[in-house]
This record gives sequence, C-alpha cells and structure tokens, in this order.
Amino acid sequence: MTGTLTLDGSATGAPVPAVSGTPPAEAGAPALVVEDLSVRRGSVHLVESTSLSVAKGETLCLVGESGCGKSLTCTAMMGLTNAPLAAEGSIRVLGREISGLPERRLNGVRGRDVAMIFQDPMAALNPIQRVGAQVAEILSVHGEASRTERRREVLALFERVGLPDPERQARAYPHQLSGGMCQRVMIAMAIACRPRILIADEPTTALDVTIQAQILRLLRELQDETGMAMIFVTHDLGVVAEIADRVAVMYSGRVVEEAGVDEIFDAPRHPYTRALMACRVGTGQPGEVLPAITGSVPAPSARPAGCVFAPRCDHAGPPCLVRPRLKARMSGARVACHLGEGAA
Amino acid sequence: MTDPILALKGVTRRYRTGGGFFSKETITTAVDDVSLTVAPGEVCAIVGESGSGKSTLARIAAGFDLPDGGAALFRGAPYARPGSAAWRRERAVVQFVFQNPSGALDPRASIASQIGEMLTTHERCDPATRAARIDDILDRVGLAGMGRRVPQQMSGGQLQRAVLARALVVRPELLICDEAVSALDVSVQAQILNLLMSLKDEFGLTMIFITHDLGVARHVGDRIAVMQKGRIVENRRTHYLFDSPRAAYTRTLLAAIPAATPAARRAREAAAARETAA
Repeated sequence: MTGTLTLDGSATGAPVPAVSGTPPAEAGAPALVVEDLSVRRGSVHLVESTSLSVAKGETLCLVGESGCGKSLTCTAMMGLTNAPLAAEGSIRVLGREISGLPERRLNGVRGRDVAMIFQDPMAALNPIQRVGAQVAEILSVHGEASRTERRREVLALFERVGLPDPERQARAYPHQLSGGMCQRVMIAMAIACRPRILIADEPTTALDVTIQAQILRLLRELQDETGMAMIFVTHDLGVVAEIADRVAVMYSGRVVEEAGVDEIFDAPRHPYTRALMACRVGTGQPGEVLPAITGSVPAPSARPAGCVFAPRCDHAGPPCLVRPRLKARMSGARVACHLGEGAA
Repeated sequence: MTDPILALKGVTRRYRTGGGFFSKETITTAVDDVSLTVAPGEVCAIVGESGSGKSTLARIAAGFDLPDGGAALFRGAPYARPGSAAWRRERAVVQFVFQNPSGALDPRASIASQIGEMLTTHERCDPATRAARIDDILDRVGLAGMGRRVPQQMSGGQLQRAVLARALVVRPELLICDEAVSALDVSVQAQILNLLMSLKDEFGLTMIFITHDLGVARHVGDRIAVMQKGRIVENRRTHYLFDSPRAAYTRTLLAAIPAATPAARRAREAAAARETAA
C-alpha cells in the first residue's frame, strides 16, 4: 500500500487539498479491470459485454438514466450477482481474477480489497444493532485483533468521516441518525479495511445538497490520502463535474461513450451524451424550453435491432441499423456511434 | 395589484411526536409563522432541504391540512374543514401532484377511467362531453390514444403525464406540485418540465412548485421561497435570489450546488485556495 489512512485530522477542520484534473502521481496502475462483463436474466442481457477499468487514485463515474445497468455492473464487480441473474466475463481486482471464485474466497476480497457504498444507507444498515457495533463487526471479520483495538479504530473512523461526538454516535441506532449521518457510517464501514477500490452506487442521491457537498469532499479527501480507486455511479452530471477523472456513459446495458471528464463536458461525441448534457436543468435561461430527449430507455427485452439509441436520436440514419461497436478515437475516448467515425 | 389567489398569513403547524411507551412526547413545529402570497398566473417555487417543512406547507396551501395558528386564505376566504361538504366542493379548484405517480394512480383502472372519475366527482357532464374532455386532456399532455392503458403498461414519465391530465381535467385555479419531477430521469424530467410550462401558459395556471432542486426551482419559478426549519428565510424573484442572495442559508444552499463543469469546479477550488492563503 502506498498511502495510509490518517485518522487524526477531522473532516471539517482539515483544509481541502487542491485537486487538479489529473489523478495523483502514484496513479496509473490498473486497480480494477472488467472485460466483456454481461449480466443476464435468462436470455435477456441486462448488461451487455461491458469493459471498464479504473486505475489507482482515479475516479471513474458511471452515468446514465435508470435502467441502463449501472447498478447491476457494480454488484457484478462485487461478485454479488444472484439468481435469477447471472454474470459472465472477467473481473480482475489488483491483477487477480475474481469471477468464478467460490463465495468463501470472494469474502476475502470484498471489504478488504473492494468495498461498496449503497444509495440508501437506511436500507443497508441493520436497524436493530448499534452503528458502532456494525462497523466493529467488519473489523473483526477481517481479523482486527482485540476488542479495545476495534473500539478505538471505530471511533477514529467516525471522527475521520466527520461524525460529531463519535462516542455518542457509535452507541446510536440507525433510526436515531439522519440520512447524511447514516451515509457517513456507511462510508466509515466501507473504508474500515482501507480498500484499494471503492464502489459507490449513487451515494449522495438520497441526500440534501449541502450534505452531498460534504460527502463528495470527504470521498475526495479519503482518495487523496489512501490512493484508492473509485467507481462512482450517478445520474447527476453536476456530481460528475465534482468528482470524476474519467466518465463512462451507459445506455440500455452498454457503455456508449467513455472519455476524460473534461472531454465529456467540452466535446461529448455520442448523441446520447450530448442530449444528456443539453437537457440539464438550471444551466440555461430560466423558463426556456429544455431540449428533452423524446421517449424513454427501452426495456432490455425490447431493445431495437441496430443502435439502441437510434429511435431517440436526432442524427439516426441508415447506418444505425447496424449496432455500432465501442471504438477508440484518436483522443483516447471510446465511442459507440457511426456518427463521425473515421474522423478524430 | 391583483388580489392573490392564495394568501398564507402567519401559518403555524405543530405535530406531536413520540409519546409512545418508550419516548417522551415532544412537539415539533413543522411550519413556523409563515406568510406567503401567490398572485394569479405566478409560479412560486418553494425550496428547502428534507425536514424544512415544505411539504407540510404545501398541504396547508392545498387545504388538506388546517394550520394551528394563522390562516390560509384561498381567494380571500379560509378553506373549509377537511372532510366537510364545502371542502369537497373546493377540491376541484386546487389540485395536487405528488412525487410518485405510480402511488397516485389506481393500478387496476385505466387512465381514462381515472380521469373520468375526477370529472364525475366534481362536475356534472353527459357521457359524450366527458369522453371528449378526457380525449382532449390526454392529447394535451401527450398521451393521445393511451387512455385504455393501465398504469403498469406505462413508463414513469407517462404516468406523471397521466397524473397531470387527471389534475388538469377539472380546470383548477391552483396547481401544487410536490417534488413532481424529482423521481424522474433527467431526459424525462425535461419533458415534464416543458409540458408543465406550456400547460401553465395554456390554462393560465397558478402554481406552487415544491422542490429540493435549486436548478428546477430556478427554471420554473417566477419567485423562490427558501425554507429552513419551518420558516421562510428568503422570498424573492428568482434572478434576484440567485444573483444576490441575502439570507446566509440561501448562500449556503447556492454554494452547495454541484459545479456545472469540471472547469467551473477547478475555478471555484482555486478561488477557495487563494482565500485560505490570504
């Protein structure tokens, strides 16, 4: 491990480190590589041959509308796909293949190497156990020595995620805490074993905007300290602008565009990415007609032949009857669209 | 100055919480001495974080709930007591749209019949007129020919259109939307906001638009009232509120809006770093 988690500076008091567009210096080595990942229910592919990778110290944002397969991709990366769903493809965590590993071996990877934060903290926490004990349990499962040691660690973690008065909060039950507080407990739980990869599935969607800002800042600070890789799922492009280094846009079970965050905002290539950018509320003039995308995301069982976005696309033409492959452009971006193919 | 459609005068609403076997009873003041007027044709957005009392205020503004103190006046007269005959007559003029459209519709009945039920409850009209009114409103919300469908056969955006159709078929004077676009995806959210804005012009609607999303409030609101802990801390025309917020809480909210682009984020962080250094 290159970075260690410092447990003394409180989240509120510590100065926010200046973050540039490039990931930290030790970055570069791939932490998580997903190749040809598919998740299917029977013969219906909910996620189709998706390939993604995230490097140490880097944040990859997965964006797209609901039903595009973002969350399924995350749970598959954690090896949490359960019947009737089935996942196929390769998932390499720190160079080690984890797909097909037996449950017992996977449990050594989850929490320790890869940790996950879910959207609804209230649903993810045990309602009848004190939150301190829930975090301590993670530490004991992964072999933290003594009871007093664990207790000290839990309090340090609570302090680190900015929970005021850790002693008191550790004794609280989830229902006694607000949504933002519960999400901090979830983050404390996720970083308890200093994971190398953190998967965050819409961690701020259920939170108020001021709490969201605090949580995003906290995650970035933790990343700067530990050099962990982050996969961050969101449908909010504002959140993407706040936290992403790289962005993968998903549409109906596939990645349709992947590029650096500045490129996604300044020069989006795929018509779906462009449309998503255009229909954001609050960026244009108040009251003006928003450039909405007509229709909605097709159900996985009713995807059209050819390009899946074509029925909603303003630029669709005859070539779109053939499904475009995700191809690398000269800039390093990957785009699945016939439009502008051959150009830069 | 025209008479307001809705005037809230020093409205207060308290709830008892706890008081069960294990906990001491406490009184929570959800809405605390709030005054607000809404002029005809105006869109008043109410923003605030969860627990700020905005939904309670919406229910009082709709006459679903009576205040403990102060008065809610619709066209100068207080609302009738909930459940009374006069109260039921008032229902048509104020309509309410909730966040979750699938919870607001009967899963077993067709959209057309649910809209028709609204009409028969509030108006007397013959079957032919009724059918024509249903077709007309479905057409206006972009659901032409879909009246026979049941909710399960429709997408989230279509369901919210159906809810709007049902609310508008009785030609209300005031439409209150409580987080009406919050559960929708951005592309569908844009469709529904466009629809609301065009229906507002077409029907000359007055609207109260409750949202936690400042971007949405800025887009739809002629005026924005910011709520915090049951009180309105600032209530001004939208562009003034965004350009020169007065209340400290408004500034906190505005500062917490995520950056529009990564470049904007870096500029903000550089400015903050300079401030810390100075």
